[in-house]
Amino acid sequence: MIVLRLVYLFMPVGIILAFLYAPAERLMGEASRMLYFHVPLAWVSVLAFLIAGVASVMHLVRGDDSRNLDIKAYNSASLGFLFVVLATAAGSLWSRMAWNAFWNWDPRQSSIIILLLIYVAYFSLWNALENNPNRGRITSVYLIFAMVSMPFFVFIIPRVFLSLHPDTLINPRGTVLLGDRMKVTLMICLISFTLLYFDLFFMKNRISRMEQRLEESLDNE
Amino acid sequence: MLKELLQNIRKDFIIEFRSRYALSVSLSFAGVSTLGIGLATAGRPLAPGVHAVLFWLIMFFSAMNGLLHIFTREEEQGTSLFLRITTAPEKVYLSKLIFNILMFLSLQLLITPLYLFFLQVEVRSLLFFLLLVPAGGLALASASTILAAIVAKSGGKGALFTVISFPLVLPLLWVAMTATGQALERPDYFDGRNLLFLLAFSGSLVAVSYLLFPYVWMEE
Amino acid sequence: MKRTITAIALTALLISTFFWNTGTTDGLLYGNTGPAAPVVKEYGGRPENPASGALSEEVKLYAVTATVLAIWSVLGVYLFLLDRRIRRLENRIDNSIRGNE
Repeated sequence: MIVLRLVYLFMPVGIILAFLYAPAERLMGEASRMLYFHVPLAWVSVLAFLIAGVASVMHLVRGDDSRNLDIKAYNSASLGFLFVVLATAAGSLWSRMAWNAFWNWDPRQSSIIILLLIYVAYFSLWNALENNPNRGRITSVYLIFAMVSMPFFVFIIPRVFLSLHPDTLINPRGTVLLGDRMKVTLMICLISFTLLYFDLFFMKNRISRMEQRLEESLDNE
Repeated sequence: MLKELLQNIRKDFIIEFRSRYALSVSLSFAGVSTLGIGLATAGRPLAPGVHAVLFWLIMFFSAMNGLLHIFTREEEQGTSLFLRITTAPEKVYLSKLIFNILMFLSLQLLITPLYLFFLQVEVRSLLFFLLLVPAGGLALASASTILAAIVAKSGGKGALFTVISFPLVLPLLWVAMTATGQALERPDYFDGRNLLFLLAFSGSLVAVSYLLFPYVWMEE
Repeated sequence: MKRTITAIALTALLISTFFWNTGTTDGLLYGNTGPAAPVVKEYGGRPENPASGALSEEVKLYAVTATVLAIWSVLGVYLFLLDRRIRRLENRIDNSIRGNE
């Protein structure tokens, strides 16, 4: 898709804004710049997970392999795994800068680790069902289950238990507690990482489709 | 429909009673772990939070050892094809679920006193504890049933079962452990929200499993 | 080719931030908590209590830059691996076409 090429514009602009335009925050100082990278990474990992879940539901509803939705779910999940690992690493380095400890067992930190575990479990299941023709369906079922239990982690538990994490964008007051310049920068970085994710996702889908067609043509000979 | 369900459950109970495989595996695991903890601590009292964590870990791994058998037995003995032909998948799921719930609740009935007496744990809010343990057991059994079906289709390895169940079971373990820790520590503690969470979690899992089980069970 | 150029441009941008001085602090991440003067300006970027292990502003900037560079290098490695997969696929297609002729 052509609109995804905008990532080549948004990403450099986002980085320039993050380092040069946005001001350093009062309490954390320069470490606040991690906001513009950590939050989009975490957001994209959740988005990837949701897209994998939606693809799984569509795969089961559709009932056949014609759109390769199970492989698309796998591609989305592998991208999501990459982003969740990056988000965790960025978050833990940021927490060292801001709170002087790499890991606090904060509920929100733990919820991202659990998202990571869900991905690992999904990949183990995918690999265990290597030569099984039902692999797509069974892994889709598992991903839908993980999708059902994910809201408990990401949205409910961090709000029930007190967390050291800063207020998120979706907070009880319904406002965004950021200065104007920081808001703009954050939005641009969010958009650029989302565009990056979709660019990679569509690329991986095309590669998987080509591999599949190649296998089929080699089988036919 | 009810008659068919009851027939299936009765058949499962009879088969289980003949070999007592799942029951014996779970109980021996729980017994060995409890004994091991007792020997390691040598009678020294542990903090209530630690007891809560150990208790639910033993519950979790007993479920992992014992509740997988219901589906892998069908695959190994070759009766799963017969079951697929004769019974609707929803009925198969409900009968296996009810069997697993009943079995895990009876396992808990045996493991809980074993743990409390061997490690001399004092339960300060008894009512809440007695409500919490079956609620958690219900949730564990509901999660384990559908996951056992998934794992049985992929070769029935127990290690895979533990890996894929851990992320789904973690919220319920988290809530159960913190609530049990409070129940052991504080007298007259009653927080209905934790119970509600566990019941809601099992309810949502059972509902989604009921819808998704045919996709796992029926092969092309 | 496009990817390589973008990667180089981004790296150059990131490195250029080393030469930018720490300055304004009108960000309001935690809301307006009063007319207190910003800590950073008074102490010139050094923390009040170095013994607590808090980092100075410059070190924080270096740390942020290093982390972001690390993130980008991981993404770059991922793109490289994806590229390698595409190259292998192209070779297989070429070989199978050549095999057919």
